[in-house]
Amino acid sequence: MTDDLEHLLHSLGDDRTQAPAHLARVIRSRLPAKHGLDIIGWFRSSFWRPVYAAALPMLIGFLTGAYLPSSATVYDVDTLLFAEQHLDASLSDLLIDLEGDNE
Amino acid sequence: MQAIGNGDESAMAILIGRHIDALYRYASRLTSSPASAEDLVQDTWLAVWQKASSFKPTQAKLTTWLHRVLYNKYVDQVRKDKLLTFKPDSETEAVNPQTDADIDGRRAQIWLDTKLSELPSTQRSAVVLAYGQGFGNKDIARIMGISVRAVESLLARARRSLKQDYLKWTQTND
Repeated sequence: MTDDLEHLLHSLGDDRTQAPAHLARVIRSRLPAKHGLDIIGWFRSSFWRPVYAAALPMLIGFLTGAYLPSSATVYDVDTLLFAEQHLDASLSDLLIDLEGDNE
Repeated sequence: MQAIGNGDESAMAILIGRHIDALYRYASRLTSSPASAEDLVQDTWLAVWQKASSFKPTQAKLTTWLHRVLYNKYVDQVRKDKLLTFKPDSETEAVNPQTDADIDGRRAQIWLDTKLSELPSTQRSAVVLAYGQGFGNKDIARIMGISVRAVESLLARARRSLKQDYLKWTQTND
């Protein structure tokens, strides 16, 4: 009995039903045209995808003004130390000047 | 696939020609309805057209990937309750064991079609992929997005259920 059922199940593989003749034509007529570059596909397949993924929010931030230079709170310490040494100014004065510029 | 990703319609036509029958057979078994099968196959090919560049030959065979796209579309449609369910009364009547004592190949085939349509969709898919489409358990697992052990479990449950029904059916036909 089990063999009969197995035989019956294997007969599913003998099914040679074909798709209706019009189906392939309908599908081809429904394909939307692909214009220009497939940016999403290119992004997905790119080796550099993690880099783009990390840089994209920053780029959007700069473009939308979320990262205004005036709102920066991190100073380039090397530049400040250089200025202190060569411009005859104290570090605290320079920081006060920067804070003043930001306001 | 690269050509299709770049929008080459003639490459797409060749791919459709090669695989549409197999996908249609799978869709027909999943949906038990010619109209739903056609809709499902159409949606599948549109997705293939759009996602062609995401196909990785190193990760899966093309036939496995195409069946996976179709299965995902099927699951989406079932979730949206969009898919027509179709159980023809005439076929149900035809397998009624009291109407005819002879068990010929055709009647057994109709019995199997009816019973397959009554199985839970995951079991039905696993059975059709294994017996109808000729995939191994590993590929079935990839297509359905489940583990190989889960596939084995689905097939075992489906066989058990079919076996019980088949036993009853053959007894009442004796």
